[in-house]
Amino acid sequence: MAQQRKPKEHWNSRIGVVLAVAGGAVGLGNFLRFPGQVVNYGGGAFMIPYLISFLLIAIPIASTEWALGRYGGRKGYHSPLGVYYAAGNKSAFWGLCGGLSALTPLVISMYYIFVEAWCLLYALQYLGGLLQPLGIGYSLLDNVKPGLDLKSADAYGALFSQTTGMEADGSIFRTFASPLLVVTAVCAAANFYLIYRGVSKGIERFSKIVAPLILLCAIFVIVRVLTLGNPTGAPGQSLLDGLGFMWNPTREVVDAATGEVARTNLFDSLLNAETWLAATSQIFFSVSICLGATCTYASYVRENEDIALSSVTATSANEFCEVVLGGLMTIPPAIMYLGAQAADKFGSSFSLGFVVLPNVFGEMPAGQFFGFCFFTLLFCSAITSSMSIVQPTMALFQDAFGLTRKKGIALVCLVVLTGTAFVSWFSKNLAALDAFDFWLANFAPFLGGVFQTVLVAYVWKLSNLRQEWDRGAIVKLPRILGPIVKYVSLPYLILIFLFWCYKNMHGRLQEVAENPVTQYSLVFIGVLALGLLATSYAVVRRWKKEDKV
Amino acid sequence: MTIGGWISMTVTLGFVLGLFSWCCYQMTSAPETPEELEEDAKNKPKE
Repeated sequence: MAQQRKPKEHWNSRIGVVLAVAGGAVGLGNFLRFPGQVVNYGGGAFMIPYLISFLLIAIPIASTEWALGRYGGRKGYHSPLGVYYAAGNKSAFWGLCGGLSALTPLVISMYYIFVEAWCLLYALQYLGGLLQPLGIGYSLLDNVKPGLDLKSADAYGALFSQTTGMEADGSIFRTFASPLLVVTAVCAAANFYLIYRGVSKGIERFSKIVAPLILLCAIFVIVRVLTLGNPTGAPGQSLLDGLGFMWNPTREVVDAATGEVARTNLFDSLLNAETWLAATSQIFFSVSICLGATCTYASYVRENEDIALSSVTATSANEFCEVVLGGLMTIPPAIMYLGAQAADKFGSSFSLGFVVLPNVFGEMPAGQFFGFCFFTLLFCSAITSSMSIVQPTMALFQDAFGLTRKKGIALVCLVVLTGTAFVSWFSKNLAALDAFDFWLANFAPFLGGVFQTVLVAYVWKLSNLRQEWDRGAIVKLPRILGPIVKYVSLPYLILIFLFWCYKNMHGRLQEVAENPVTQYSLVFIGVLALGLLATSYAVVRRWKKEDKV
Repeated sequence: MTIGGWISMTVTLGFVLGLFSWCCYQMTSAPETPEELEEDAKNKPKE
């Protein structure tokens, strides 16, 4: 007779799980990547493919992942390995796919803790008054001058390079107890402690405290932005100009080489396939679909608790943070203080967050306070995200080896910190971080999304999906959502994935051939993947034997 | 800001805010589950 596995833990409340999932999804991508993408891909025109992708990809696939997770949890599995094994009719192939999918959150958690430490370090520096123009502590900032001054942007760029060790590999390890190392250790300890406390006493309680704090910090910054008027008095730098820069569907683009002015309109942007690719990618990454986090969190939802409304609420909360908060608090003040000339720095999340915005806060009245609020907000959203991506690895080790929480967290800590040390050592131009980010946060989720949707649509079947959605549902999801997953989301995802590979793969493969650090990073990822595959294979064999007994 | 900018901002923010508010309303107005009531009772300070 097959052994009956029991679910290990549960969330205490419906609100708690929604806040934890939304907190896991809300991160730097919402506040920094989204505004940059909107500006780069046609402003208001970008929002049409963005909203279509939200309806056709985010809602259906996120709800599917919730259903898959809760189904696995009911069967006593909490890791992607176990959930895929259960939903895949206990086939070894789907078990291995699930095991391999745990690679994505594992590797992302390795560098996310490092990025989280930057946010905390910047917040602490604002709190201590070190990041004020002409302030003490950084002689580098002595060059900062008010107004549109390239020296100023350079100074903040140099500060960012110095802080993150971008100048040379191993530079942050040169000084014993360098501030970034200490803060990274604090962030790692906070993550592991909260996960060790468990889903309800650790993650859920923390999310309930942090979510209002994120909102409060965002409100402070947004109110400040909306009441700035035209702070420099320069033409084209008012609040409406700032908002228009982000939302206008038509824009004048100056060719840097020839100086010719070209006007893009709504239809140009909509007929450009790259706009659709950028919009879908943004939705995909910001909602954190197929990273294993939502699936793992949903596995702790009680058997007869709602997942239909919870999944839509968590997804819409993420969109609220992205569109309403992220859309208002970053680009408009940057345009108001620095003008459209700074727009070339908006495309990169790190450049926008750690170079452009500190520059803006330096100019803003009470900028120290608002800078502190902004980086506290970034830190809080980053820590809830990093917890959500460490938890699948913890669940995997517990599912696979039957470890106690203490032993499980010790093993997770060892594996994750090895990767964090790797990323922080190879810090020159953030090469290792960039390689990890591209292959695991950009490439792997698309692939994982395709596999997950195939599993749900063709193996687990839409009838089971429908039953899972309806179990304990407060609001029933529309019947059409199942066929949308199978006939619209899946082909759309495959199409976007292939086009994305076509656009990005060539350059990336060239970089792999040329950059040794990228090669080391891929070897590192390969070793982890092999380790996960071997572990998953052994565990699936053991489960199959147990099922036969 | 152009008229197109106003339209795209209003429609997008309106859609997202509307959906999020509807979800929040549904979540808060739904009855608590027996497990949640049990948990509330546990957390209530004893008189």
